Amino acid sequence: MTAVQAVRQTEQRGTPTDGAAGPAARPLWQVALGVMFNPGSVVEAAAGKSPVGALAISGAAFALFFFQTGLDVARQTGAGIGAAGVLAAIGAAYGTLGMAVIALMAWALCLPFKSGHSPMWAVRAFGVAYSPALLYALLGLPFNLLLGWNTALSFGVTGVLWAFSPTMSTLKSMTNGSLGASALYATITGGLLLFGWSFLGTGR
Amino acid sequence: MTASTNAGLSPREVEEFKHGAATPLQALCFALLGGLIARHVMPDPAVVAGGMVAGVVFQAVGLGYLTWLLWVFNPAVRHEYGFRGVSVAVAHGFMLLFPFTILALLAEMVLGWQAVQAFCSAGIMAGTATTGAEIAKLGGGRIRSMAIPALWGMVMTTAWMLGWGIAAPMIKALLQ
Repeated sequence: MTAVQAVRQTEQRGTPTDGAAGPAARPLWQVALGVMFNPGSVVEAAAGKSPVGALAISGAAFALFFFQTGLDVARQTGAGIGAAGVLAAIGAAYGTLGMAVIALMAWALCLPFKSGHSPMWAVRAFGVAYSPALLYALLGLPFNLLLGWNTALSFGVTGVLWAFSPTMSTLKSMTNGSLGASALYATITGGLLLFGWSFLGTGR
Repeated sequence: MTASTNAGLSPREVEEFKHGAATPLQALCFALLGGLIARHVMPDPAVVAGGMVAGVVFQAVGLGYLTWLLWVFNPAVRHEYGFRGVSVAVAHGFMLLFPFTILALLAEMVLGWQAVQAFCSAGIMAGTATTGAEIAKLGGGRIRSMAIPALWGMVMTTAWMLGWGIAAPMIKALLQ
């Protein structure tokens, strides 16, 4: 049974919203590392779980990423930490609502491929795909807070770039394995997220 | 065709790995990335063209050696799909460089970021990781399929960054 079939079975059982992974539940750090090194299988398995949990991953990743952007800007301009807090809230909204909108847009773009994935599956898979971004943002935070490094580009953008790999695996599954289409859609969705951060986070 | 090696692959995918051809897309991506970095060294058309050629040579050597390594260390895949199957898997994996290249171009040209190396290193590592997943899908050993590309990805990334770090002052000294 392939991973896609496993996810479909999970959906048919009507359990995608309970967030319980059953006896094979794995801690978040294992999911995050798995997403980095074997993105396809992990994303597809995890996408069978809760959309809230999946969007919490991308929401936390972007909240921390935007927070570090705010801290970098505050260090240069002398603005207070309050502005960084506001940016973190914008990042949280961007990583949850924005991510859901982009995932639904990708799902709509992939409709002609008739993969059979539901819109909720797409939202869950996109959310989980940003596990590497969360991991990088968490790693960057102590360097920013304790050592005063500017980490938005070095850790934040790098984390979002690392998330392209699982995103592409997700899109490959949503396009029935079409590499060309998934590369193109990964460019569009990744570009929207990255340049959206540039606009909202840095005003450029 | 053995059941174990082709588990999870559709007949179309098996056909593609056995008889498909690697696309020149990854060569184009490395050429563009090389050109972008060379533009930072010196915004001269000849230097940019040289950077693009260096990118193509780097991908030919780097991905050629990765293909050879995976072919040597995965006898099951070698027996089933041959060198062509492994090279198609590498080409599939490095399709992932396309989004990184386009976004690096946009980030440089439109937003004025100076972060091409971040896009390059993340793109190379993501490409090698996806290649590993493709080889595992073909029936390669799980550890070997993931570890060899990951380690080689680190070598390629280091060589790419160090190479440009060493070449940049030499080019400047030669041409100024």
